[in-house]
Amino acid sequence: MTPGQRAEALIARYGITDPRDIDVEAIAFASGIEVEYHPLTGCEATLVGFDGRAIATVKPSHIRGRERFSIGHELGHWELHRGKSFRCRIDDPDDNLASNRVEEKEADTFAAHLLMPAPLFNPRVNALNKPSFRNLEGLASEFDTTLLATAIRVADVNKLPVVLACYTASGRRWFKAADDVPRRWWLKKRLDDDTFAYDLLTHGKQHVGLGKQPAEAWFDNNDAENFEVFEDCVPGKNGEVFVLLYLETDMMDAGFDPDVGRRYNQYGSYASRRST
Amino acid sequence: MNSPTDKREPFDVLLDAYLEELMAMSDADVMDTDNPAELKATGMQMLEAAKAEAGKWRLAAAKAQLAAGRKTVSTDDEPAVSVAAAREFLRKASNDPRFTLAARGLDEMSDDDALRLYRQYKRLERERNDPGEDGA
Repeated sequence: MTPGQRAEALIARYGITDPRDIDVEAIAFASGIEVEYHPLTGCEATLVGFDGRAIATVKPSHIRGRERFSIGHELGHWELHRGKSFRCRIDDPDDNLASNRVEEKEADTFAAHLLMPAPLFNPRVNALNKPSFRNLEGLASEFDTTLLATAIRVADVNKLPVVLACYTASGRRWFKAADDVPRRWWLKKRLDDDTFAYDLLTHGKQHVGLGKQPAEAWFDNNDAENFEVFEDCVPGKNGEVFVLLYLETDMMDAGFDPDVGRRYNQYGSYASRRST
Repeated sequence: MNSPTDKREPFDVLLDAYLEELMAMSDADVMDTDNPAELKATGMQMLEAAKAEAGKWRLAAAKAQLAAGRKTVSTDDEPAVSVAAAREFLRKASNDPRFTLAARGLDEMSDDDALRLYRQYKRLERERNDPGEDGA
């Protein structure tokens, strides 16, 4: 089973059919983990285990969704990596999206599926139609999760044609696209000054809700000028901005783009950007 | 700490009893129906429902224990230990498959965190050796 399936099996095992019943601390306890809250230095949470019992220490936060995700993350380590020792997550949860650490990604996946299990989450995502961050806040409130974790999960379940990304003034930190979004669309590495996200990041000016933008503001493709995309953005921490893009049918149906991601090498031949 | 999964619960017993009953049915009993597929589906539905009820019971038991507040053993009771000794213990523990550790690397961990992790390990070890100590 994948980490996500393992987490959802736990939800099924406890007969949970309502998001409000996902008491992550009780689930952890039933798995042998006691949760403590303690200020930590440079870490969101730690886990120590001996034989079949463990103590998860979670950094207190005024955002309960953050604490819940940390507990789910440590429960993921306990279920998936018991008997191993490894470095824990770095300071911020979204740093793991920009990281290659397998254990951390697996534990994050476990936590996301535990707090937002597909059988409960997907029908609500389907009902969103064309979501803005405000819509996702409603979903986050129902599942008692953070807005960021909820948005990442929405892209992950692949029910809507969305791309989620995080930018700073120095460029793109990470992005996650729903699986059905064609890989031919190459998201820009730096914010275009025509985007709402640029306005938010550089001028603190927030555009409320989804707004239409020329797709060329967001994608490198030569033909992007022929399309439009919906954009919403919210401020993150430490100079970050989170972006939600919604692609309409014409972009989802666009065929292969032979030009994007390629450039001429010194001999005049095309070379894949990924290999150069 | 006493996890609710540590011992068999009433619903586990009920589930086992139900399964045994199903397994004990003779072929004649099973075949004494117009629709064996329907019988099988009904049996599976009942079994799934019983499993869900057992799961809900387990979770409710865990919640009740959490809400009641357990008599936990304070880690402050652990004998004083130097930071160096705590770090050495953690270094050895990280190579022992009985231990699980997800934390910052020893080289970047604060002294406070090293001591806390050490005390937590010692508490788990002590509770493992004396399960009644936490009042369970």
